Amino acid sequence: MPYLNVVEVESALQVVAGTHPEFTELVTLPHRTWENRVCRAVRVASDLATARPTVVLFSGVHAREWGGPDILVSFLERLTAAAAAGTGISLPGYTVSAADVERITTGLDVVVFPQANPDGRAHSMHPDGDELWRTNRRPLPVGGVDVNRNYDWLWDFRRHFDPRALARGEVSVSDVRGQDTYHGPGPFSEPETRNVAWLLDRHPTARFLADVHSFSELILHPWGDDDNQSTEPAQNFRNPAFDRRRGLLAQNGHPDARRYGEYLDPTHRRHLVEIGERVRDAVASVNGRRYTVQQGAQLYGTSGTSDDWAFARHVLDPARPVVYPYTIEFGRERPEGVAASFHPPYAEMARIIDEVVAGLLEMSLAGLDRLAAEQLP
Amino acid sequence: MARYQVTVVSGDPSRTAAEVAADVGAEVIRKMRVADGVTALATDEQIDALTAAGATVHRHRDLAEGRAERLADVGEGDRYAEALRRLAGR
Ligand SMILES: [Zn+2]
Repeated sequence: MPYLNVVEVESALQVVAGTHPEFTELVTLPHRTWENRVCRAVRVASDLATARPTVVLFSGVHAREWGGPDILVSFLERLTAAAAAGTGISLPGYTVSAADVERITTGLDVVVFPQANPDGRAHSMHPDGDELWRTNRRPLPVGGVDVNRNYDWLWDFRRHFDPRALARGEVSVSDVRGQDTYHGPGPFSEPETRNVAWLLDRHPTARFLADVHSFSELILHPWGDDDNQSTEPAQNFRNPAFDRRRGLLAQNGHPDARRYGEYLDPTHRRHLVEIGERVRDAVASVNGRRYTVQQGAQLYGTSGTSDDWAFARHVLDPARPVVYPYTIEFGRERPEGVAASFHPPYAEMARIIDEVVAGLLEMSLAGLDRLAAEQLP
Repeated sequence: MARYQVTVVSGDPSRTAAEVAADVGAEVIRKMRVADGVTALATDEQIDALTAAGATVHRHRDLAEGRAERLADVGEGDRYAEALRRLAGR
């Protein structure tokens, strides 16, 4: 079995939705891509008329990270097949009981958007394309935009980040056209980014989110701009007094790193870490690969990413429920080089699909447990 | 235009390897772990510019190497076509 091509990802969604119309909804995203492709998502919910706490899963944002859509299609196929048959889900080393499958489909809305950047994927997979393409396919003169630097969160990084961190290349973002992390001409300038935002707006009950990427075997949670801290609430992304001070990370050995840390409510931090650890343990149970749960900035500093934007929404508008968001970086660095690290041989990818599907199922169950056990803020 | 996976080591203690690599337009791959430098994707021209700027560049592989095998790992046609036809005929 090879990787799904762009057409196959869309077909898979139509087959899932067409096979199980009683508990799935095929959702057409409103914004066509630069190459005029239509994107779709599938919502799984036993009662389609009522909104429940929602899990939003998406992938395929970075073109060369081929396995993301394959993971989410597999997740969707397994969840819906089990729900239809009234069975559990068995993966090597990890199982979900039939009762837990029912708990997911009756207790949650699960929204799966596997292919957020189909134009980029098509280019990366095409014999005449560029296998290591990362961005979308916005045409010149602007050129490709990194969709995961295009969200409206500290997007204007020259204003928000310390110039020293930027000059030293410690923040993975660029305002230079043609660079792989180019953040675009404005926040939400790209149809691919607006589609993800639309999905969250469509589901105001969204509580859990995963943006699936490769590689590094990481489960990243907010924040991505600077070291988290839970003692100085005034040090936060909204506060202009700290503009041009963010992004000096302790891990980079800056003497001024302690001048700013991004405030993270300690209760939110606890839930982020504990849900992340359940995902980690489920992943490990399949192939023994132990992913690391850490805040995004510990990989490298970023601005304009999906997880921080989604998490910031409750800070900006406390009437919104908290979304617990993760960026999952599946797979490990491979000795064959960069390309094989971003998209390993499919035989290896098949094992990774199983482990990440287990992690995402566990994320749904961990979310349900927390919603049931306590008032999850 | 050939591109290569390289390791860049800065020749100037006041500048990081990521900074030097980005300056010449090479793509920095921060996720690849290397001691004392960064992994980058660079063309011959960019490698020359890096060397001229005093950086040390280790060339590891042509990015085209193994590409045909990797592309052979991508589906052809549509494995769901038959299922879609069956659904349409239902
Ligand atoms: Zn990515």
